[in-house]
Amino acid sequence: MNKYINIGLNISLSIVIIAAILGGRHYYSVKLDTEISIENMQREIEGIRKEISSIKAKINTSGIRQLNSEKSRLGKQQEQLKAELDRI
Amino acid sequence: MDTLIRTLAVLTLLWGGWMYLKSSDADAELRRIRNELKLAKQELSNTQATYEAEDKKRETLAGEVNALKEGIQQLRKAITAKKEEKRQRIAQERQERLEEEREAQIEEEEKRRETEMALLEREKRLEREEKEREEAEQAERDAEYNKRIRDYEISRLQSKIESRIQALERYSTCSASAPPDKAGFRKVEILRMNWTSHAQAGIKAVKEGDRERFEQFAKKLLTTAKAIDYICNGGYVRDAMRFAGDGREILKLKEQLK
Repeated sequence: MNKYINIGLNISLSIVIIAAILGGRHYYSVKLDTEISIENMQREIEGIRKEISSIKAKINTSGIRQLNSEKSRLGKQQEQLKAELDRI
Repeated sequence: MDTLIRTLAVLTLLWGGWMYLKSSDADAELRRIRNELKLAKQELSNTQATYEAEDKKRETLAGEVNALKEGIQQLRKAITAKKEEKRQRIAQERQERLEEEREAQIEEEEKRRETEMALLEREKRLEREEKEREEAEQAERDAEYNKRIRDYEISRLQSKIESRIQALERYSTCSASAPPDKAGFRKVEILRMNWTSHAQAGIKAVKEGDRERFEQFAKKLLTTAKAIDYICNGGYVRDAMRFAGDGREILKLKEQLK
């Protein structure tokens, strides 16, 4: 009995070992792909961040503030001229 | 051999466990990186949306600013045009007012001139009337004077004639006792013809109103009368009376001329 158990056990363990070896190979392959993907994603993230910085650099809120200020000034000037026209 | 296999199996199991743990870390890392990528993409999308919104807002504001500038320019043009129109209207009103004042001045001047002309005409008329009145008075005085002169002349001529007639009557009363001789007779005839022609001429002069001629012939009548007197002293009464008759006719005509 022990003999067959030992044989069966040995076969099972051998199967486990083989599975582990195959699993290990698969693992490393996946790991490599994962690392490549992570690298690609990191590069992509880096590119996106650069683009965001570039867009943020183009965003010029001070320009809008200047335009608002000028719009307000021109509006007052227009009102003054209308009042002057009415007085004439 | 069994030991080896079991040892390998145990090692394999340990290694498998260890690899499992490591793969968990790797999965976590992968998930983290994927989340980070997802967040980055979302941030990029938000940033792009923000940029586009801002850009659109900037374009809108720039459009509004340009519209305001154009409106201001139009207003300035309108103000300039209205000021020019007002200036022209003021100038035209001033010109019309000046013309009205000028016309009023001209009317006033014409009225003044008409008044002056009327006064002048009135003065002239008064002067003319005064002059006419004076001329009429003068003419009346002249007529009165001339009448007096004429009356005086007539009375003087009448006196002359009367004196002639008296002379002739005196001569006619001269003596007819001594008729003249042949020469004297001829003389009386000539004198009678002269007397007649003088008397007729004097009558004509009286009719014509010619005093000078009448005087002339009256003078001749006197000289003729004297000649006859000279003759009549020894001459004809008949001739003397005829001559006296012509003198009375002259008087009658003078009376008629009055």
